[in-house]
Amino acid sequence: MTHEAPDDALVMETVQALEAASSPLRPREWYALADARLREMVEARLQAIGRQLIEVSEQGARSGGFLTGWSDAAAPVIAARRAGLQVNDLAVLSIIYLHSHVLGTLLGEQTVPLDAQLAAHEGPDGRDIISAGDLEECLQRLRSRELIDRAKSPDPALLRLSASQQRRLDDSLVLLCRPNSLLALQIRQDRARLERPEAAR
Amino acid sequence: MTGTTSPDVQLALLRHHGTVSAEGKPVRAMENSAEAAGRHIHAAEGPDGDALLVLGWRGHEPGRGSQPRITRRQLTMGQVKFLVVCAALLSDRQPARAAVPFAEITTALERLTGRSATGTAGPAADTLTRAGLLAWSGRDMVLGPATLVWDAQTRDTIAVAVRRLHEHPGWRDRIS
Repeated sequence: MTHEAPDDALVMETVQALEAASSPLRPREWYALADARLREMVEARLQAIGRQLIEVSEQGARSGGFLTGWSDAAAPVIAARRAGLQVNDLAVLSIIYLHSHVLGTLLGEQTVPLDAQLAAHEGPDGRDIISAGDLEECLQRLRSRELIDRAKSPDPALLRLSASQQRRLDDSLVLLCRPNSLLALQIRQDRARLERPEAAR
Repeated sequence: MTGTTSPDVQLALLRHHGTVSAEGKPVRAMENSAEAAGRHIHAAEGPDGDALLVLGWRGHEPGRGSQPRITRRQLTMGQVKFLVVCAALLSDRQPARAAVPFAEITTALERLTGRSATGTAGPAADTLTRAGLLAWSGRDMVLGPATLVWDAQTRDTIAVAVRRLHEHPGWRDRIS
């Protein structure tokens, strides 16, 4: 007797659930995520559709488990063709991520409310980067994409990053905050080498 | 080697956009990978007669009666109202229109609900277009690719909502 058919159904059901779920699936409820052999099958089928399995650790009130995100092969193609998010939205998201996640969560610093942070940021000509009128629309677009939650904190979409995608985000923050540092110089060199692999040979 | 034309990346683009042109795509390989992952690629015809691929689910949608339960994103009531009003305006004339101006939807919404749609109509349209339920055609809105692969239950639910809106005593006055 073969286990192939039951395994196939179990794996497919788990892949479907992962692709539809808005919060992590727990291995204790999804056997195909608990069993290493079946989890490999899940990973392979996700990779074949441009997705990948992301393990999320339990932290505070946040439950652990598995989510899916874009595969490393698909992510740059998707990013190059993104639509809907505007430069202002990305600027607001950067400030939220920097202050709330990096300074607030990772470094444990006391941070002031987002509205005050945004008001404190001025462009080179001294004007506000994002006017108060535009801010609410930016926040709505970010919320509807699950990039931030109601409390204006980074939301589940940012958990759907692979290790290399997270590293690229962290590197981009270094370029944003310390553009003249040695680390930033190294990051720029590494990226240039990756974008022109033939030049490095 | 994985490239932008490889089936996995094409499937990612299909998932992201909801629909892609079938032209030049490795359709058979994409179908095989999609089926193994519980998805189904539907062939559809675009407004210009072009062949489109639309991504749906194999069998019923996850979350309907599946165990254990999963949390899925849901449309808000305001977004559902926007969608139903748009569908009702599209089918209100004979023959049915293919597109309806965004401004006409917001005006009808405001008259039907008695509330300003400023600040809610734009985000609702944004969410519905990203879900593939509506799409932009210039400043007009059309039904999106996801509606091409609605199952019978969803199609019936929307049809009933549209019919009830058409039969509402104030519908004629409110859209005039």
